[in-house]
Amino acid sequence: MPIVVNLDVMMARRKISATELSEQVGITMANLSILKNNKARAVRFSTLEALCRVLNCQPADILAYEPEPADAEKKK
Amino acid sequence: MKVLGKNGLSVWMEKCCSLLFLLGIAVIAALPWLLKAYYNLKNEDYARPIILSMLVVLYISGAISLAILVQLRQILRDVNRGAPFTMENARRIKAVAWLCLPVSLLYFIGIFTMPSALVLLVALVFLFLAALTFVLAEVFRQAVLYKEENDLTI
Repeated sequence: MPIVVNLDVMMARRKISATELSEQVGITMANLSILKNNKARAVRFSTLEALCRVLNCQPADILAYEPEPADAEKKK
Repeated sequence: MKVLGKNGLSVWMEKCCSLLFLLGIAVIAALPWLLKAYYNLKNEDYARPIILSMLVVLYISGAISLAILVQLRQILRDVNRGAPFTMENARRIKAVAWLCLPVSLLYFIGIFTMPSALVLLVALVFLFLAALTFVLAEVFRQAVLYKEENDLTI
């Protein structure tokens, strides 16, 4: 998907571990890793809100739109 | 009434399916003797001409019913494990629907050798069940898709 989750970058900048983040956001480690590995199909506003609150950032700091080249579609 | 979880209805139904499976095998194995014993209680003369077709119909529909029971037990096992919404279970429900069809057909044919309203009733009930189960299988398949979507919504 052309929407990319850049959670790693923001986590590194805030020096927060995955365990800590999942606890403070209130999601499981499994779900956090789905999110980090760009496997998620959708993000609830409530989750996004909690992420922004804990990481003290804007949605744009976590999410990015990267248009994929036309031939990348075939690989899926 | 508690349906899911420990000591819920679905746990008992899984045990029930296992029990019925074993009982079914026993009944199929003892079918010729059971039928004879049953008709000895009634008027044997009227039973003799239809006993062969009864045997054939009961053997085949019995075997198919065992196959249906296996599918149902596996679905119930997944339900009791807490993960019922899988494509595998959607496929199993569809298999049950397909398995109901030959039973229905068999009893429709059976009407010619065993003219009885009850034989017709079984045929109609299984046809109805097959149609209904096809619908449920498709609904279940869509539920699985929703579930997958939901699982990947964080």
